Amino acid sequence: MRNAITVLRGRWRGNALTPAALLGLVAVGIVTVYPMLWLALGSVEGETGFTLENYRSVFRGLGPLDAMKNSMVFSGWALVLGMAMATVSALSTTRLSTPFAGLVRSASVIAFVNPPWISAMAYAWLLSPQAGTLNRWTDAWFGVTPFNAFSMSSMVFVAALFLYPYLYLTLSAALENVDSAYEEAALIAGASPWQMLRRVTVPLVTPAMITGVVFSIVILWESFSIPAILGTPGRIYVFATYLYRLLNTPPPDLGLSAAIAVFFAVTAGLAVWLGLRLARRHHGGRFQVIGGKGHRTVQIDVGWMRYPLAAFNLTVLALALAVPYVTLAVLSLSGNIYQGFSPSNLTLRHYLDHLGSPVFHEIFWNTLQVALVMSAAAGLIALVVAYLDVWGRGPLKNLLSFGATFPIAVPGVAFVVGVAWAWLRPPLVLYGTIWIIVICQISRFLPLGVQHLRDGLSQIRPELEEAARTCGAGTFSMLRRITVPVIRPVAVATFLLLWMASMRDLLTPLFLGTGAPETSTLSQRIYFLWGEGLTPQSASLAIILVGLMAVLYVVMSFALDLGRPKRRTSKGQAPTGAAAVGA
Amino acid sequence: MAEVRVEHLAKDFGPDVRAVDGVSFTAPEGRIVTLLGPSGCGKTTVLRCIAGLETPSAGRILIGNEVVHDGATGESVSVDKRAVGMVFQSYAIWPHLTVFGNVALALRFNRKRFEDRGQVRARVVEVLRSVGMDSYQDRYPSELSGGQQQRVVLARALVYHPRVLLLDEPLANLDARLREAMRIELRDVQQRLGLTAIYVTHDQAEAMALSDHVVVMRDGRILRQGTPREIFRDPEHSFVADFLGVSNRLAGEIVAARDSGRVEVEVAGIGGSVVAKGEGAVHSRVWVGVRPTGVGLRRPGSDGADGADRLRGRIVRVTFLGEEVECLVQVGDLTLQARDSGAVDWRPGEEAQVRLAPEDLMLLPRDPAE
Repeated sequence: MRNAITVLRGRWRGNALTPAALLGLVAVGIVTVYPMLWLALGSVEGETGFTLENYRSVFRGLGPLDAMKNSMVFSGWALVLGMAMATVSALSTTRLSTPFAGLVRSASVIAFVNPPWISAMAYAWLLSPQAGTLNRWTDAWFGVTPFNAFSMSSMVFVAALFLYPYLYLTLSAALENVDSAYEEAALIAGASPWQMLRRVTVPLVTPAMITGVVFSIVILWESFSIPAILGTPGRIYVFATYLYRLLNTPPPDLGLSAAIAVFFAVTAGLAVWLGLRLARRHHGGRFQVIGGKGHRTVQIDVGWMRYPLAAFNLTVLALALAVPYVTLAVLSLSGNIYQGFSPSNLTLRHYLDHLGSPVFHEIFWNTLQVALVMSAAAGLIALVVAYLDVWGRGPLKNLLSFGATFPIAVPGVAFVVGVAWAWLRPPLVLYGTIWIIVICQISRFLPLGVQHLRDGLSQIRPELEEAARTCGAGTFSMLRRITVPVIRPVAVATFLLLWMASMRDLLTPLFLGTGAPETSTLSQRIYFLWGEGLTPQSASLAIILVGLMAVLYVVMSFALDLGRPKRRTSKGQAPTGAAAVGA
Repeated sequence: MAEVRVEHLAKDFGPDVRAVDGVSFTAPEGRIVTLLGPSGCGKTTVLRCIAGLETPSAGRILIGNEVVHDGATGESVSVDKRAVGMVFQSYAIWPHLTVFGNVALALRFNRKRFEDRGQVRARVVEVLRSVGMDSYQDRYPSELSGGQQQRVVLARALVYHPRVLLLDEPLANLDARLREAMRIELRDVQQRLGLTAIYVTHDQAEAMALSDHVVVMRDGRILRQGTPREIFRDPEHSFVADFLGVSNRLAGEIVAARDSGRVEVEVAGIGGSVVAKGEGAVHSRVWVGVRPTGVGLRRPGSDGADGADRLRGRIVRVTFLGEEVECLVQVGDLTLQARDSGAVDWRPGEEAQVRLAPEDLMLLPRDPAE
């Protein structure tokens, strides 16, 4: 220990940072590495010691192989479809002078934080084989019922819509960052606009595209709620839903599920590793696209084509946002859901039922509590990690940031299984309490926080701190007077991002909760009610949750920003401010 | 190569911003014309209009005999069909391609104009050799120094035989020594190939060294154009004078006309008059401009019988610049900037004789309000 401290002292400037670094290392180790160790151990633990039997079972049974095949088909097609839609939208809004570009951008940001299970539930209702609204319409007009919500194609469709905003935002940001001079140089050299796009623009954004594809694969590979809501009723299982079934069919085969989870995690890790290698190999990683000075971008006039393009963009966003929310809103307000939309059928009964129920109250506070504690803790750890990563030196910081960010490549389901393994047993038994959800969310969302903070902090020049030093500030005054005020905006934004991620998370409470109200959260409750066939109750709770997210977001960003000019805050201040709002 | 003519060019950005207003000039075939002015004067906008990257609000642009933009009819040749070459300030070397790939891609974009498809490699190598970069063909842009990148952009802009070469502050990103070397090299290449070039810069030394013709702009308008020598000797406009290093400006009034194009000007604050070259009506108010190199300093008592005006002054501040010494010298109520060879070791507080030779003093128009 003494040795480690000496090393840290040597590597990291400022002695006062050393305890923070050590604490960060310990915290990261506990929340991310510890569950993975138990997962690996659990997968090779037999009744009489070490065994590979679990891994053999993975490849012997039909179930796991089938799930793997489905996962590949599902991820592959959703990626292709999502990428195609995002590419058209990104090119049209940044290069092809298409109207409503601003609307498309802001709607995509909203769609980006939209929980995927909202769309899955809405389309399950709309496209349901017999009673689905769309099928009833086509039946009435043409006498056919072509749609089947519980099929691979509808899973792919909804997943592509879910992926679309992420890919769109990644691509359009990359396209906007390209210095317009690269493209102008092509035009001046005699390239037609189409040649310019193909030979210059697209190659320049290819690295960003590959990164987007890699993370899309991870997102799809681990996606749970869409296949659970749309695939399970039709007995189409992917990795995540297969694992869920395995753990919920008594007696649960923990060894096999651990082995599947390890396999699942390793394949995802492999995909990320390969993808990032590819991105680096692409043109040898020799270039980084340098952003232009102004916000000038080359605009290509596509004539009348811009109207169909705009219509396409708006349609995709309508399908991703408007259709699901209108559907759920109508469902939540319907007295009799089969009666369709009419004034006499409108009721607030389902909302009032929730608000009057003690179970709802308990779950409501659980949700807020989990979100608050987890975003504060994860935010704080992420801050230490990102701070040291951006401004620190030495090999230990790489270890720290790897430990904090590797869960991004581990599929959520596999991670959650590891967490269950780890906290099911001494020294710390958390299973059956709400804290296991908190701890698991911390580790799952830590990479998100670290990335966001790292991006923010790397915009801030270290000279600011050095200037404080040369003016005679000690480490503590420097942190208090310079670092914290400067970091504050990005820290607040990260905190809100983590908060939103926690509120919409279904996987963690579903796998780690016991089903009793004291370990439930709103998203888990919504899924439970949906599974029970209590459609309007589930829809109204979903609307309540999303409304709560929106209101809390506005209130908290206002509250956290309010004190900025007046108060000098310390690092812990932002979460405290939120507590006042949350309580 | 072809002549470029710009006639009454105007460009508005939005309803309130007129970036370019009534700009007309001609770049004769095989010559370099420089657009010189401070940042925001509209010089780059003019260049981008010629390239076709901006659409002018009014005016006409001709390259050779082709009208590439006509504000009256609204007809405009699109940028990719203008057959011009451009060197950007940021170079904009396509980072995903090698040196060879950059130059070759530019050539391939012009397949329609050049049928020699099989000779792409030969042509690319030829152009790279002409800028001395043929041994770097397989390098990526990030593996090149600033000067090498400069050469690659030049090769890329020249490979398809453009009708005119447009350069937008191409040397701004280089360090001072390299900048001077590249300046000479650019001039060399231009003369060897007989290029018509339009060059945008805010650096007056660059403009003087490179150009056949200089166009000085401010606030979207042309203030003065002519050969570098003409403009340097006779800025005609107090802003142009200021921009070209005429840092001393004395307010005065013409009191008498002398022979051979000289006038006597009574300068306020020094209690005397000076003789300057130029013409003007007696009693008109003028500026008398003089460069620091035109303010001669001597030790009192040493006599130079050359008929120049001699004034008494006192050294206020001395700045050692290496080859020269810059002195601030107080003459009456005015402070003048002077450059001295450094032969005399001036000290602050010393008395000095200040010599203002008529050939160094230029008359500049003065607004009645000033």
